[in-house]
Amino acid sequence: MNIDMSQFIQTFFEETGEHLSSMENLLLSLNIEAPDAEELNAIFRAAHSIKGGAATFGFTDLTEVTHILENQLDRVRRGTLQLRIDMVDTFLQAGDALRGMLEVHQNGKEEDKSVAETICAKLQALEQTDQPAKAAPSYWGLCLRGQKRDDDSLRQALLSQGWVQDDDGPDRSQFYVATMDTEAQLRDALDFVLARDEYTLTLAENEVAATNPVMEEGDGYGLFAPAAAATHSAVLEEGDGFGLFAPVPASGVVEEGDGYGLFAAVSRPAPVPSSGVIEEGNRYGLFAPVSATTEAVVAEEPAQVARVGGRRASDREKEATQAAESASIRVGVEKVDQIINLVGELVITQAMLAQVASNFDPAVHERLHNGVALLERNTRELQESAMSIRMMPISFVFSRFPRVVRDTAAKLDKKVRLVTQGEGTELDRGLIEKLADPMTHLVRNSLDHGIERPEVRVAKGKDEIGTLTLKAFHQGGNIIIQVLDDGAGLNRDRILAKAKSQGMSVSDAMTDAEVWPLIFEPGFSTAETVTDVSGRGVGMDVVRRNIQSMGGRIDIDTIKDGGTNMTIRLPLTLAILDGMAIRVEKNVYVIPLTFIVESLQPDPEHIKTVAGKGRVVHMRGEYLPVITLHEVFGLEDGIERFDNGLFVVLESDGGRTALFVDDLLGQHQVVIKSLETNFRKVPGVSGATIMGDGRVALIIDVESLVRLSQEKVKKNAAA
Amino acid sequence: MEQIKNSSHAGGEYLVFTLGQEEYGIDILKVQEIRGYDQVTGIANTPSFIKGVINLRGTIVPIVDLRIKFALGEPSYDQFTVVIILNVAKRVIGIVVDGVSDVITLVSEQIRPAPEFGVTLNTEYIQGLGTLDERMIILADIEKLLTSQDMQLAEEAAEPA
Repeated sequence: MNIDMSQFIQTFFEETGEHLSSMENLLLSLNIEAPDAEELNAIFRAAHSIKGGAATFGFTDLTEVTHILENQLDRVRRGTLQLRIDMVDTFLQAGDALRGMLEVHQNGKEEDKSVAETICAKLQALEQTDQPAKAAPSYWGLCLRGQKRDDDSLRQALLSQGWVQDDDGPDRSQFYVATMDTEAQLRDALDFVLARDEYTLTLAENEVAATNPVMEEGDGYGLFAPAAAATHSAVLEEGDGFGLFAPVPASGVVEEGDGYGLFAAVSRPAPVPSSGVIEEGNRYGLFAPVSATTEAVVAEEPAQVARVGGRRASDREKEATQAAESASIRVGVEKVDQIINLVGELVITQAMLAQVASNFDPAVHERLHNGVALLERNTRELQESAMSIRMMPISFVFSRFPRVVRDTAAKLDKKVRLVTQGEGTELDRGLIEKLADPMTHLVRNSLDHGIERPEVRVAKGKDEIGTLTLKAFHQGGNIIIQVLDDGAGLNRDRILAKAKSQGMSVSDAMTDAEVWPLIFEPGFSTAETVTDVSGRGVGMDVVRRNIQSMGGRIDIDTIKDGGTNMTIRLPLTLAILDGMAIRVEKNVYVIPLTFIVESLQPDPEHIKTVAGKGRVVHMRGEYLPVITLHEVFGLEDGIERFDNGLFVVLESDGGRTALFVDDLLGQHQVVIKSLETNFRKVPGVSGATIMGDGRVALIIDVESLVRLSQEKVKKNAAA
Repeated sequence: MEQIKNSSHAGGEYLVFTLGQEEYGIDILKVQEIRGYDQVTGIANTPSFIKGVINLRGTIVPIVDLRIKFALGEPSYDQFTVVIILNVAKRVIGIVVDGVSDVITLVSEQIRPAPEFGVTLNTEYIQGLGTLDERMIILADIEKLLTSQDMQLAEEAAEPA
């Protein structure tokens, strides 16, 4: 039977991408001096999973790189290779290379062999620059008491611990053991074959290492410990008198034979490829000519980069790892969206039923009313859980920043520490995807313009290492994301000077709150030099536009030499909106609540016309331009009855405006539906929703409405 | 279906509707459903033949009144007003017509190419003229018509003056 692999290949790409990401995150958070064993294991597992998958699908380049990567990681894991910062760099590069290869395969392009070769060479080079193993093995003399032991279980038990040499040949009452393990571990292993009083264990003085043990191992048992020998439980197997090589497939030995079975080649035709053997031999660096290889020090000078993002509380890290490992299913987004749509329908139907039911006398139709109330509760709960499917923790965005900060800081020669808070804060999946770009921009901006060079910081009396904080939390119905730095802050004078030179209408009398947003204007950049990182003047305006398109806003708070705080405010989800339903004639519209400042009944006295065209309303010493919705939307009976209607004061980019409407109908949570699915974009309208009575109501796009109204006024004035 | 779309003379089943005195046929496979006219939400700054949008079981569907567009028949709205919901160009669009008469089957021999003049519709949007007994049915390429520039239903046609 031929299994169609293509159906799994997409999953492989997705999963490998995830493994690579988690590997990168773990690498970045590793503590170089004292790497956490659990973290190393997790990195190893990620590399191993990629290798397994790649081998299945025949991506040999991926397999090769991960294999070497895995070997090196394993050495680190076992403590035979001391972790250094340049190793982390190389591992990260390997991750990048793997990602590149993955893309190549995903797009069905021809693989570039040189990429794999380069990175393999780099990885291999790591072990050559490595100092000899940090812990030299200790040598133990083992003396058996009483009868000699002919069976091989003892030998095997010892082999699983390290290298063994028979001292006195035939009667085998004395052994030398070279092992990395402690005495207690050695005794534990021996417990399986010997009683504690059957032997004595002494730390041997003489380095039996000088002898090449291989020649004496003529009894048919190679030196390699079997696959599982890495764990002590494996000793149990050993005790059963397993042959060492026979039951282990050759490939298993190469890949997994990382135990304590050591040195050099077996002279007999062992099913182990010699390359594998040599690799093994290098691991403990005991008998192989280490001194010879160490001469081949790689010339590459490891970049000294700021160590960033490394020292996060390790318990939180673990928590996150555990969360990622919890059971989950992979479901297409469209399926989830369909569920959310259907739930939206259900909410509308339920509202309709409730409306109908309210016409019945509660005394007579008690059960109907109870049922409707129950339906309402269940629907609400269902809606909440359906919505939560789309919610993802913001760590999906934050997790990319340790790398961004590390690389950017290195490029800019700055020292930066990244702190993240509230990674568990959840928001809509759609927002997560759209948030990545603007946030990357803000982070780079902070690193480039905000945080000063180490010497400048020292001169200012600040910590040499700058701190960049990413924070996320909920506030009301919004999610707040902050990018904080303790850098130089914005320079008011320079912004004003730049704005003037750009021909913007500014004055020195502007308040700070008016000055800061100038940096969001298109083409604005105060960077003295255009760097690789930022300063081209594109970007901040794009950032603001992106955030506005998500229905959010961005604010700046800054203190000179104290730092800058960029605050992004976003709605929790793109699918639901808190809105105020308003009525104009027979038409119902919804205004997003975030734009509404207040609503009030106007005094006709306070409405003035300007140049006979535009109208303003005088409100608490402020003149607000008036937008009459029926005029902008060209609705029929456009009578001006200012004493009849209400003003809704809106706050948007262009400042405050007063929107004249007939009536307020109340606040609703509405499900946003796109007009563009079957129709097109309509000026002044951002979407549509379905009200409780089943009718469609349009959602007003405040920014666009204000623009529309200004254009109308201009057109009228021109006419 | 692909063939029907590509060949202007291919036979097939057509839904016949009336606009004024003229009978039009559209490919039955493009028709999703036929329903009454109610609760249309008007959209500002759109041509008068775009009546607005309706809620079709949770989908927002625009409604076009072909009677206004082609100045045929009486644009009155009551319980007898018919809306044909169409699936064209991956969109769902509703059209208002005077009435729906029947579904006919035409073989390619019954279909003649359209003359260069004579009907309200630009010949560009006409697949051919179908003959059934004494009736002449104008076979409209509804997909081409509804996605055309002057219907202002698609994105390219946005920004009305």
